[in-house]
Amino acid sequence: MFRPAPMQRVSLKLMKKDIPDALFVLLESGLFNPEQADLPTHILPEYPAAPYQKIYRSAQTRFDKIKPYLLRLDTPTDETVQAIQIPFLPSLDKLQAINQHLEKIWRSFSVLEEKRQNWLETQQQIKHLWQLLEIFSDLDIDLSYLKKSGNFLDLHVGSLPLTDLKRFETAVSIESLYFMKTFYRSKDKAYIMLAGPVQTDNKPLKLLSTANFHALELPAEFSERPHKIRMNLMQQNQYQQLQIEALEQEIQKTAQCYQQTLQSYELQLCYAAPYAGIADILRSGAGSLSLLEGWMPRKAVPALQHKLREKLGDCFQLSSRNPTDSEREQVPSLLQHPRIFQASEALIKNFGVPRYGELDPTLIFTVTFTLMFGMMFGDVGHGALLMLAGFYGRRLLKQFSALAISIGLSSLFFGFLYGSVFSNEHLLPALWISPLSNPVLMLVVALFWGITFILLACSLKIYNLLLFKEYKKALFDTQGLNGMLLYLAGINLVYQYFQANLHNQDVLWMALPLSILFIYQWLELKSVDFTERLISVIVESLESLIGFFSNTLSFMRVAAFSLNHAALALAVFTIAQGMESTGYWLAVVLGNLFILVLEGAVVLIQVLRLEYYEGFTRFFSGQGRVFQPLRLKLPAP
Amino acid sequence: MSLSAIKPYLNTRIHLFLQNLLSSEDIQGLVDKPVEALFEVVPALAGYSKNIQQNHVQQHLFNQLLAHFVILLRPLRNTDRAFLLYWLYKHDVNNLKAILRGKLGHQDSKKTTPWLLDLNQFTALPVDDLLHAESIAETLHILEQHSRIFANIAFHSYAAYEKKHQYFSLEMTLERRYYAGVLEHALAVSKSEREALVSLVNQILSGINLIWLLRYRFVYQRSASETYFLLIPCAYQWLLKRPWRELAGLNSISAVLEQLQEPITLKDCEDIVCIEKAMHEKVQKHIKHRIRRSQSPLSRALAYLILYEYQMKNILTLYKGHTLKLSPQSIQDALCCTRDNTP
Repeated sequence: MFRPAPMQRVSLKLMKKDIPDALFVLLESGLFNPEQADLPTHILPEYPAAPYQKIYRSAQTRFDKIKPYLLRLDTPTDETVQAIQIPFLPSLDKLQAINQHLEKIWRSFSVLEEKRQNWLETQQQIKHLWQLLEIFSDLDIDLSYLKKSGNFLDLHVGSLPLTDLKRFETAVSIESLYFMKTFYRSKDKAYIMLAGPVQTDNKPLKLLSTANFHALELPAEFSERPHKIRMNLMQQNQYQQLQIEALEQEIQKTAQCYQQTLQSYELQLCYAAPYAGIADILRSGAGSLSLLEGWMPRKAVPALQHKLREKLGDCFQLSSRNPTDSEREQVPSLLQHPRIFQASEALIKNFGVPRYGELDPTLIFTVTFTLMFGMMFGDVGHGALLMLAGFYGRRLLKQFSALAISIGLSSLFFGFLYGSVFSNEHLLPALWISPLSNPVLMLVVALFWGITFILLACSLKIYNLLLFKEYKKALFDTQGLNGMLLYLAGINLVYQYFQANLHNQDVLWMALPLSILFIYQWLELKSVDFTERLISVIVESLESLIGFFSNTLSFMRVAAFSLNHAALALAVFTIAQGMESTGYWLAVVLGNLFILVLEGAVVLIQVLRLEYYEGFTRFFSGQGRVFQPLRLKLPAP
Repeated sequence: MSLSAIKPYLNTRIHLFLQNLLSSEDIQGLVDKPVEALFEVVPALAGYSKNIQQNHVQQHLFNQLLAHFVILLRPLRNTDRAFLLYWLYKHDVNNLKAILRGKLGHQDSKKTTPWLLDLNQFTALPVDDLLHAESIAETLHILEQHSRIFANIAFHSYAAYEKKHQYFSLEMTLERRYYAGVLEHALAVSKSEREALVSLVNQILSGINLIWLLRYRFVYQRSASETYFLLIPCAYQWLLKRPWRELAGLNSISAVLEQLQEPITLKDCEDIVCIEKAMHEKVQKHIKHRIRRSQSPLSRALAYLILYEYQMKNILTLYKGHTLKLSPQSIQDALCCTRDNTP
């Protein structure tokens, strides 16, 4: 509960022919995390599963490409699995055959797909032509005339910026023999047709380029009047649509035809995946001996031994040992908690995974998170709503539903203490205190909570340091015992100062751990020169002091948000009281909704920040490895 | 500031600023004097030595314009404010032209930077990004993406440049679009200011248009329709008897000059440089008249800014002429100021 599960390094020596059976047992246990064997390369130099992995990858890639075409690929139920009667691990030859067949299937899909894409592209072209035709819709002439200038006619069709149109028209009118017609206007362009006699000096052409005129190239399809072209395009479009639909039906048919085969292949690939997955780990020699190593929870080793014996008889050797100190960093951490802690676990993993042997902060996180949330968001009504949301929304919230219920419960509890129901502070008597009635007390409580939290974090850090045999750090570092004493002495100093009862011995209590910290850091920085060493030590000691001070003050937000909650409630009721009865209830409901959603979210973020920044950074490195056991992943429904 | 307070505020400010403007006589008087006299007479250059570089002289003069601009802008709101700001972007256009010229000549951005005027917070250009662009096309794309004010101008300028790859077309489009924008902004100002301001803007733009028309038609030999298309779409009545489209069709400079309204006659001028100088003088004279008579504070503010810009140009001409040791006659010819003594 407080530490990742104790692990053992497991080494399984077996015959090559027994690998499928052994793999089945390992998968069944669900607790074997394969790991590279720590052996020189000349001992057991072969990787027997490597060819298998190569073919598996090729087959899986092909299957993934085909999968979107399948209409429906049901998840094989246990009965189906039994009915199909596929051997647990498909043989290399079988996998090869699957791969070859998948290649053939993919080829038939890809031919159809290519045809479909071609038709879609043609359809897209028709769409563009349709849009282009829209421009010419007001011109009731054979558009083929617009394509040829001829010997005597200087003809231009194109667009220019709409803002220049009027000026351009006047400019054209200066050229007396030219005729211009604007036949379409878009948002920013005018489409014009300009015609005049061919002249030797090409005057209008110069004007066109000056006016940023863009000539329009008419496509070959535009050789009739617009309405006729439109009809042609419609017919073409309909024909293409029919072709596409026919192809889609054909694709569907092909998919249906292969559906059962592909279902079986998918299942076989799922079975093949674990063996392909251990291809880089499973080693063997020239003979028939193989070796598979990995990590397993200590508790699960005897059961594994038993199951292997049942399956393989005496043809294997399973040895296990505790991890050595040098291996500690590589051991994966398996966190085992009841279901209700899964949300906390997810939030912790978001920060990092605890190192093996390190303290697992899940329980502490859950308790402190819940308490802080309740204190900052204490309201009977809001708490009850959170609990209901957690309970009824459990399908949507999944593992977070337990967390929602627990923070709701905490909010409800503090709501009774504060006497607040749906922001109303007059319905229930406060069992302890209404935050706004004594804000100073709230701040003092938050401060003491912060001190307790930091001291707890320091203690956990010392524990973790001792566990990793970093005794010097555990005793003298800022995060160690000396740091803790420095923090306590600092609190005492501030307290005595405000009580006007400061004595020399209080300063001495403070100076002693500070001097120890100074000397420790001085000795740790051996490789740097004197000045840099001095500056580093002074700055780091100062930083430690400021860090403790600012981290403690950071907890003031716990009180600040409880006050904020009460103040927001007051604001909601002040607004509501200025309205008629309907308006009153509307303001109360909307105000409460606002508080619940917006303030609730802000409080969640703030609590998480306190946990991560003030807590985790003190004692939790989060540099551990996730425990990733061998698992059989059957197709998703 | 209330609407009733804006008018006296601006009138008082403009009146005070006008006291510091040099008269034409002062400018003329500086032609024969050594360059040191400039630093004594011009308030914006007081305290600087004659060894100061030309671009610094320009920036100092511009800084004073900017200081006055801020004061004039302060009480203005909405579209009136937008108009005056847009007018200031003329200097952004000049900066942009300098950057583009630098790109054209593959000049290092460090060489271009000193020649750019610093508009402080009023610039609408992402100057650093533009300087780091590696080509004209990239410069205009950056401008299109990063400047709300110049996005449209950059788009059209790029289209013009892409088509012909002529720097001339690019600059022409840039200026034409900018000045068309000035007119659009003038038409959008508050009702009480609109008539006077649009009239003043039309006068200024028609002066520019006339010079452009003569250049395109008779120097660059563009067709009538092309010339007309390249002009700023402004009114003609103050300057001309016939509309721009008819003027674009005329075949000689003298035929165009015959169409000028009385009493504007430029019959003594034979070339475009002379006409340009004379037009500047006419416009200045008219602006001075406006600044005395106009009831519109916004058009008076604009008139003051234009007069200051003319003064700035003249002082720079004097400074350049003296440092290059040009003859007084050459400096005199390069100046654009009237013989009228009143500022």
